[in-house]
This record gives sequence, C-alpha cells and structure tokens, in this order.
Amino acid sequence: MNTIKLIIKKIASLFATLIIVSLITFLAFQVIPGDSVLISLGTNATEEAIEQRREELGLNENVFVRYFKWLGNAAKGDFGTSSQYHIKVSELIGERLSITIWLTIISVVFVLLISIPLGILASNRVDGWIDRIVVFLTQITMAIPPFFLGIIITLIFGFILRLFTPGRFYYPAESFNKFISFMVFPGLAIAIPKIAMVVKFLRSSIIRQLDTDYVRTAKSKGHTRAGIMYNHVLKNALIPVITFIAMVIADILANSIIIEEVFGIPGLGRLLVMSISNRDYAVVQAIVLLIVIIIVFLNFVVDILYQYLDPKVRIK
Amino acid sequence: MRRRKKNISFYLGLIIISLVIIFVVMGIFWTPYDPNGMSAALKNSPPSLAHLFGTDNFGRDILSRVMVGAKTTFLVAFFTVLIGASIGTIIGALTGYYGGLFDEVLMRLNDGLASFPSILLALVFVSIIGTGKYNIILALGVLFIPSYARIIRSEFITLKEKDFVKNAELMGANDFRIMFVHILPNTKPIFISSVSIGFNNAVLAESSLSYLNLGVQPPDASLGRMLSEAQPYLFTAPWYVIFPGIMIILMILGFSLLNDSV
Amino acid sequence: MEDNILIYVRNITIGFPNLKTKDIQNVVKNISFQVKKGEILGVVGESGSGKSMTALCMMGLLPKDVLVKGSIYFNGIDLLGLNEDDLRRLKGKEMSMVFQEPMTSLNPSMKIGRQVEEMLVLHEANLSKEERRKRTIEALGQAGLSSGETIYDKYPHQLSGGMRQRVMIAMAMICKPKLLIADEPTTALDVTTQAKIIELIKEICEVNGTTIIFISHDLSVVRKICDRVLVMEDGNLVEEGSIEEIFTNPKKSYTKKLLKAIPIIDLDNKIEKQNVSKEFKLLKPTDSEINSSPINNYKLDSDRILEVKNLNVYYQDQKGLLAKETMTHIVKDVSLYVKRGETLGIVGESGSGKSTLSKTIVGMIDNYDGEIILPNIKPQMVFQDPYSSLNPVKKVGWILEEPLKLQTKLKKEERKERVRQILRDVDLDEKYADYYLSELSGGQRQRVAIGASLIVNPEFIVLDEPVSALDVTVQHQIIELLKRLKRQYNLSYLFISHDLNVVYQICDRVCVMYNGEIIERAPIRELFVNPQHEYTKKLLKSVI
Repeated sequence: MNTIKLIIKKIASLFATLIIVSLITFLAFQVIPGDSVLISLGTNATEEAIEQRREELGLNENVFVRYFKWLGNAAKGDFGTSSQYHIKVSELIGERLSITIWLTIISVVFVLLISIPLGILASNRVDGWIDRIVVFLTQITMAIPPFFLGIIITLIFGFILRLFTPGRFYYPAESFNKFISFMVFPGLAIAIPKIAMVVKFLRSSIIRQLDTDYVRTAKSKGHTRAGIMYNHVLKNALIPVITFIAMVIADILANSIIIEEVFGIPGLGRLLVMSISNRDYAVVQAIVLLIVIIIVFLNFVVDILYQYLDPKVRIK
Repeated sequence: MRRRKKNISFYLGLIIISLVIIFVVMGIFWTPYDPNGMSAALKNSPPSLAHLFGTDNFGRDILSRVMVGAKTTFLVAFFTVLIGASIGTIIGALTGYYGGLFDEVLMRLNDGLASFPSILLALVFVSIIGTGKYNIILALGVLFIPSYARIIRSEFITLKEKDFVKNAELMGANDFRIMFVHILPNTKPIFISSVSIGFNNAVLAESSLSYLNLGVQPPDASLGRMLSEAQPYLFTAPWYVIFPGIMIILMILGFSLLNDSV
Repeated sequence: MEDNILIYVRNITIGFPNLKTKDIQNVVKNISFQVKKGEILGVVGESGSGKSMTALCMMGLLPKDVLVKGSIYFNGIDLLGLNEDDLRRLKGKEMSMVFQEPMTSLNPSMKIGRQVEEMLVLHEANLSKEERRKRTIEALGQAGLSSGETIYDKYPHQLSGGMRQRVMIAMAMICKPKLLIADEPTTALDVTTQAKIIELIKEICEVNGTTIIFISHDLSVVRKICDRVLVMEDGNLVEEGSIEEIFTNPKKSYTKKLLKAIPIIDLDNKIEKQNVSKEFKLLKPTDSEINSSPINNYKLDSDRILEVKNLNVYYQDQKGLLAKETMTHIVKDVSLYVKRGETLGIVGESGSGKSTLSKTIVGMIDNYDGEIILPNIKPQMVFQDPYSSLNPVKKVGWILEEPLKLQTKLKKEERKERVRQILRDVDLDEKYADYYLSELSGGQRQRVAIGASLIVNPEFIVLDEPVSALDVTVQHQIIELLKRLKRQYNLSYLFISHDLNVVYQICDRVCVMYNGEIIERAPIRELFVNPQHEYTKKLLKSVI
C-alpha cells in the first residue's frame, strides 16, 4: 500500500518537474531581444507580411496559451520548423539524437567499469601506495577540460598511434563496428575526468563508512577486513554513489555537446551549437527540452532505485 | 602521514596559483610580443628561445597570447564568482532564514534549474543574450546564483536551529544582525570551498564556450578559443594546442589542490 | 596464574602519536588489574580517563598507529601476542562487546536477523541455515525481544534505542562468550530504559556464566550491577575495591570527589534509617492555591518572579505546502510559579515536554494558550550544550559583549570592563576574553554561557539541562557556581533536568513532568523521601 502511494507521489513530482523545466525552456526563449519574425523575414519585410507571419505562428496569443500549444505539439513530437533548414525540427533531430545517446552510453559504460573497481582498490588500503597513485591521478585528471582531453586523445590515438582517423566519422548505418570503434575515443575523452570524480567520491564514501560505529561492531564480531568491506561497508558506501552517478550521467550528456565538436561527430550537440550561431530558436528549444527531459527521467529512475536500496528511505 | 601529504598538496596548490596569478598580472602590463602581431615569416614555428611557446598559424607569439588569454579567462571567472556568490549568498540567507512561500517557490524553480546541466544553461543564455566578454560574465554569473543560494540556504537552515541563534534571539538581536553577524561567519568553510569550486567551474565553462566560438569574441584572446583555432594544426604544430591547454589545467588544478587540503 | 582468573591485564600503556608535536601522548598509563571468572567488574571514570581505551585495547579495536605496551592475558593467552587471525577467532566467540551508541552501532542497511546471525556464520560455521535462524530468534527472545520472528526482518531504524541495545546484547551473547565488555551501554538511554537494560545484562550473563567488564561514568549505575570497581583518572588506575569499600569508605581523594558529585547515593543510605515524613502534600495545585494569590494580568505577586497558569503548548507538524497541518499537544495544562530567590526544578525524561515548557516561558515558542506572567526584565536562558549554544566562530569576549551591545547603551570601554568583571564572576581568567571557544573545555564553555546570561543583570534565569553534557566532577563545580551566583546576585532559577541527582543538589522545589503534564510537585527532600506518583517512584528507583 505504502509503496504504491510512494510511487504515485514520485510520479506526480516527476510531472511537476517536467512542467517546470518545460516552462523554463519555453519562457527563456520568449525574452529574446529582437523578434524572431523579423529575423526570419529580414528587416525590410512589410507590415502586412510581419502581421500575417505573427498570426501564422500564433504570436498574438497569450503566453500561456502558446506554451500549452507548444507543449502539446512537443508531446506529439512536433517541435515546429527550423528557420535555417526549412524542415521539421523532429526530422533534423532524429538520427542525431541516437548518435549522442550512443556516445553517452559508451562513456557511462567506461565510467562504471573503471571507476567502481578502482575506487574499491584505492580505499582497500587507505594511504597505501596504490591509493596514493590513484589519488594523485584523480586530482590531475579532474583538472583537464574534456575538450582538451579530446584534442590530446586525437593527437595521441589518432595522429601518432593511428588507431582511428581523426575527422572520419562513420554512421551506424554505414558500418556499426566502425561507428563504435570511432566512438570509443570521444567516449574516453568524456569518461576520463568523470572516472576521476566517481573514484574520488566513492573513495571518500568508503572511508567515511569505515569510520562508523557499525564497522567497529563488525570488527568486534571477529570479521576479516575483506568481510567488513564486502558484507558491511560496500552497500552503505555505494548508496550515495548512485545519486552521484546520476549527476555524472547528466554531465556526460552535457559534455557530449562539446566533445562532438572536437571529434566532428554529427550529433545533437553539434546541431545545437550550429543552431545557436544561426539563431535557429525552434531547434535550440527542442534540443534543450529533449536533453533536460532525458535527465529528469534519469533522476526519476535513480530515485526509484534509491528507494529500493536504502531501507531508511524505503520504509517510511 | 596523512597530514603531511595534505600539506604537500596545499603548498603545491599555493605555488601553482601564485604562478598563475603572477602570469595573469604580468599579462595585463607586459607581454613579450604584441599578442595580435602577425608575421608571415614565423608561421607555425616551434618553441625557441625567441618564442618560448612557439608561434601560431599567423606567426603570433603563443606565449604572449596565452598570457592575455589567461587574463581574460581569469577575470571572467573572477567576476562570475563575484556575482554568483554575492547574490546567491544574500538569496540563500534570506530564504534559509525566513522560509515560507517565497522560499518554496524559489526552491521549486531551483529544483527545475538543477535538472539543466550547467553548460546547457550557459548555452541557452548565450543564445538569448549573445556572445562576448560581458555577456559571458553576466550569463555565467546569473547561472551560478542558484548553486550558491542552495548551499548557503541549507547551511542557514541547519544553523538557525542551533541554540546560539536562539540565544541571540533571546538577547534581542534583530534578524539582520542574526543573519549576517551571527550565522553568516559560520558558513565560512563551506563558502570558501564553494567559491574555489565555482571558480574552477567558471574557468571550465568560459573556456568551453570560447572553444565552441560562443564565448569571448576577438579581439579578446581566450584560451578556449585558441584551442579551437589550434585544432586544425594539431599534427603540424602541437605546441599551439598544448600550451593554452596546460594553462587551463594549471588554473583548475591549483584551486582544486588548495580546496582539497583545507 | 590462578585458575579462576579470566583476564589479567599487566602493565598496559596505550599511547597515541601526536601528529603535530611528533611525541606520544599516553592515554592509559601502566595499569594492571585482574578479573575473576563470573565476576562483574565496573570501570569508572570521567571522559578522557582511558577507561574506553582499555576496553578497546582488549578487543583489539584500537587504530593501527596506536602504541600498546604490556600484556593482556585472556584465559592464559596473551592477546597482544596473537596474530590477527587468531585474535579474530576469539572476538565475538570468546569475548564480545556492547557499545554506547545503540543508534549507530548497527549496520543501517542490513536486517537485524542477518546482523545477529552473522556471529554464527563467523564462529559456528557447522550450523545449518535453519538452525542459525532458530538460534538467532532464541537469542533475540533471551534479550527480551519476544517477537523475535518479526524483529528478524526489521531494519535498525525501525527500532527504538532500547530495542537496538537489546539487539546488540543478543548479538554479543549468542555465542555464549566467556567475557562481555559493556562500554557505557545505557548512557544514551532514558533512565527507566537504563534500569531494564542493566537488569538484562546482569541476568543474561548469569545464565550463560559470562564475566562482565562494565564501563561507565555513572557511579549509581555501577553500584547497581557490579561486584568490584576500578576507578580511573587521566589514564591511571586510582583505586580498586569492592562496591562496599568504594562507596562507603573511599580512600583516594579523586574517588571521594566523584562520590561527592552524586549525593543521591548518600541520601539513599539515610532513607532507610530515617523516618519517612508523613506530611501531606498537594499533587496538583488546588483552586484555592491558585486563586489565593490575587494576581492581575501582568502584575505579579511581589514574592513571585514567574507565574504560569494553565499553559498548553502545541507543536505544528507541517509537511509540505499542501499537506494537512496536525497539532501535537506537548505541554498540557501546566500551572506553576517560581518565588523570588528560589530554584524550581522540572524533572522528566526526553519527550516529557520539559524543554518545550522552558522555551515557551522565555518566549521562543508562540503557539500556546494560557498565561505566562514575568517581571519586566526578560529572563535569560542557559542551554544544555555549550558547544552549540555559543557561536563557535567568535571569541569569548565578543560573545559576552554581544548582549551588552544589544540591550544596554554602555560605551565600548564600559562594556569591556563589564566583560572582565563577569569573567571573574564565573571564575575564568580575564585572558579568556581573547580565546576562541574551540580552545575551551566543556566546563569552561558552560561558564561562558552562564556569564553571557548574567551580563545584563537579569533577576531570573532559565537553565535548560545546563550540566547534562558535562562530566560529573565538572557538573558539581558548575552547580556550586550557580548556587554562589544565586546568592551573590539574588537570582531565581527555573532548572530543567532529566537527572534527579543534579536536581537534588540545587533545587528547592521540584515538578515532575510526564507526557506533558506535571504529575507531582513537592519540596526537594519530600520528593525523594516520600514520592507519591508511581512514575516518580519508578524514576527514583532507577537512580538510587
């Protein structure tokens, strides 16, 4: 009974958040200096043409009426027409979205596969030599901007080691294998600083747990070091890491915008950057909304997962 | 053992930051060459005694450009943090201390904004108000307000329940005095650390935007923009990429080392 | 070695390396003692006396960089000579430990059953899964958790502090160890729960033939359970003897000081001898008592400094913007008064509403009905925890000066002079004005807090558990200070406490609060000698 009530509550708050983020996205583009009609028609358009266009676009209506129309259309997948390319925004986004999602997934896989074992390894012997090396490396790595890391990876793996051809992107439809083996490198560029962040977070989470009273209890029971780590500490230490990883995934998604530029990947991020330069607001709005919705859903899933894992939150 | 290691990172951080600041201050008054002075003869020449960091595709001295670029990045980050931290602190103090409807509404908005990755919000801002040095400071500054407000607010919520605050109320201190004389100094450790984290985020955001050509615009030099200009010459003139990149890394590393050891 | 000796601690010294000065700070200094089989040995001392360190050392729970010299023989085996694995096999099986903090000593994300059962998994690997479950439920039952079946699948946060401590005891005793070390096992609990837990420990160990080392700062608790006592001070073993010897004929001055700080024990000895007073007293004020004093609003009877009439205080639970507001009735129809020059005590356990009452009186809670009549000068308040009631980032001088800045028109120099004067009044050197709070001990901080409340010359001070966070000997000093200041400045106190022993030392009259109501009121000696209400009797029984 309680669980159902909780899930209903969570879903309600999910919808509330969706409304808020969509409202922010919509309203942000209502305060743009310069009328979008003037931009699309040029400054020497006639009064009638402007008025007609405004009517067509529904700009003469109340802001909230326009918001709900926009939201209703967006829910159906209709984000309007690009002023630059003169095609439907949804068509423009279609394949690019899947490329960006692939990039994100590859990075997330790197982060999960590398950071968690590394974090455990480091905190197994706090202040041991492995720990010191890991701490030193995370410190340095976190200071490297991902786009610079991308450039360095291009230099080392592309130009020097020739493991991929910089700038030669393959669409999944061309060759899925080549697509993936290309995407590994931008994926790595995004993942490396994030790996450092997660390792640092997990390490300090484990160290905090090792200092608790229940660990002392476990020691007094005659547990081995490994027993304490795997039976007691790890679960409690990983619970906060889950929320942190959700944040990291959101960050990875955002970073892919920049990394796509570095590696010349025709994804959502590149389209966004171009559309901003071209003042193609319908496209910008659509991409921003899409990315945020993905993140909101991600947080929702993590929240539910968290409920499941942390007994203190679960039973209320 | 642990303590000694912390001290090393503290001093290392201090040294790096001092060097960066000396570099930046020097860049304001003097550069070895005119950062915009071109020379066809010196196109893409590697580091030498005359040009320590080499020259770029227009024959401009990279050291001079890095100095000027570092100055821009540093100042943008500084003002961004100044705007974000001061306004955020005031909002956080008021909402945290008083609570109520205003707080509730602001927090809902804040929760909504928290779903936007910061680089995405920065891009939205830039697409609305345009690019350029001042717009970037404004955009990033406003962007950072919610995070400071959130941190200070949650500190205030915890601290206002403490007995020393109740004691101050009993003594007859007014709200303003309680907020800014009694409570605020207690947020110092977390404030300092969020300022240094904020500075790093600002450096990162500014250089990312400039790399995407959506940040600081010429003639202002910027480390991010230098990187994007250098990328086509990555293989032929790697020094062009490496020096601005290292400069960004040092700026971020210095503050994060210092922050970790406090 | 004699056969009946279970533990022989020989010349143990425990040193913590100091990171700053690089020398070693000894927290336990060359102590030796023995524990007989089946005995209950109490170890008494204030914080920093080294009593817990000694216990942790026996269990091998000290941090790695701590230096230990000497030897500890357990059943003839030198524990300090054992390797990690051999020691591990002893821990839990042969000797086990119950800790002070039941709220944090259990793993928050693991079911109770699994945590208790883990002992069997570690030490009795041959048991089948069903047997283990059966034994676990049995052990929980033995620890007074009769519904072992349901407790088995619960998480720690679903249980109360007392229940969690029972779980800890069940866990410690499931392998029937030879030795149980109980480190302040009842300190974090309410007094009535305390009494039950102590009985449980005693009983369960008797059944299993387990020897107990019982560590406590509380002499009255030790007296109830132990056969023999060690008194520790500052890492040294000061005195050793049977309960009888230590309590009736202490030899060392430190032990005497400890005993003097808890006069209730003294009282207890006398109660049995003296005739109980037969004088009748009122449990609730009669109408005539309240009406007899002709009180108009805002005007007090000249000999009363506080009058509270039919006070009800509510707490508003508000969850979120749209949720329904629920009101909890915390203080129920309380009437009381404080005479000039008097100290009125209010006694009750946590949740009795005594703190809410005091906060309402000083004006920190508005949601009440009833009357609170005070003199013109605002009452000041001294809080329980001097670590949180004084601003941690300010200097002592600033803290003392602040009320003067706010409430008086004194000039800067006059203020400074007043600060110096008040520091002298609370027996602190003037130089402390330039100290930060972090450089002061708990007792010194509480002196500063008292000074801050006194500095604006109030007539009436509300003291909310002012000594509960302090060691007993420091408690005693602070109480003496409060008594002296009361005489010196002709003050009146409202003294809130959960500790009958403290109340006994300072109060003239006492109100006992339970569940938001005053259930009994009497002059102090009356209450101790002839309690009327069942709850008061229970409270007294758990202390004396």
